[in-house]
Amino acid sequence: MAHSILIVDDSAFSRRIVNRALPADWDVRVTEASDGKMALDLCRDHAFDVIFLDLTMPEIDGFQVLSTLRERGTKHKVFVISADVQPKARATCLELGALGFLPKPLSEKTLREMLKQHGLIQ
Amino acid sequence: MSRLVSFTSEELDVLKEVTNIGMGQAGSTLAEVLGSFVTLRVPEVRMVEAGKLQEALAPFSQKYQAINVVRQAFYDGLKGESILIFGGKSFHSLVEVLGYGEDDAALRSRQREMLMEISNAINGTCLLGLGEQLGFSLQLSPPVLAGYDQSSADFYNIVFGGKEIFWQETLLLEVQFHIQEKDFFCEILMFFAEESLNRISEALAKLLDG
Repeated sequence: MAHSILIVDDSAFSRRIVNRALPADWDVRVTEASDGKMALDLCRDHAFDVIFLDLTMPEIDGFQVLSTLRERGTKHKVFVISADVQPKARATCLELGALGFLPKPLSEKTLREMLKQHGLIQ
Repeated sequence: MSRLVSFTSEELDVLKEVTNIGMGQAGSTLAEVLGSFVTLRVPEVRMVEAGKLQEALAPFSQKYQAINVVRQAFYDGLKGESILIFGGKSFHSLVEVLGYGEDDAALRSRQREMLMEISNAINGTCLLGLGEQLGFSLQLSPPVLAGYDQSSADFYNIVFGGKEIFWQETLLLEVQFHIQEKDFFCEILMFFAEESLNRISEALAKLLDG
């Protein structure tokens, strides 16, 4: 059964990069959100298996999305993909419930390793 | 007036994203230097005509009480100039934010050196990161202190006053760093020379096709 994936990033180019980096042999159904509000609205109606989340977005940023998802008590598996590579940003994401942090520019190899580490692919 | 180079919305999106990556690396450098968390904002990317430059930069004259401005040219691959603005407080408060000692703060020459050292670190990281994403190895000229503990109302004159502008339009990238706990702002404005715009367009098209 296909994994339901949500990619959240205000950049269409960046969403495409993430899409392309997903393992070719991973059975997925991908939804995209171009901002934090859209992501939270989608998550309210749909239980995504995995969320790939950018941090630096206008209006509602990735930190706020993580915080809201935690408040809702939902159990999404969230991986942050961001250019904000400060150690504190990474630590805050993990404190807010993200499973992992992947720096931009995104490496397919690193993404694959992280998905494998969390039992999402073989 | 016809545009020399027109960027599509997709190209501007790519440009914003590669700027984001450079900004993220610079933000991490700044966080390390200041020992504080740096809030990043989505970069702004726009074309500005020479005749509208003053209007485009007007918000900076109202944003801060006092500013310090460092300029740094870049070349080799892409050409342009980066303007780094430290805003929000007077220089003495900046010294406190930067964690420099009293003795360092006392000497004006040392104050200027400190500004340029930090500017070089942040600017260099941002520009080189951005250049790398576009496929260019940029070289940086030494930074120059253009404005020291001055009113932000003087911003346009600090940067462009008394100089004839020979270009018709420029590509302007803006990134901002904010340390909320210290009320400290730092912004980088990157102006790209007209002669570089076609090269940027080609690099963006390559990234889109990739």
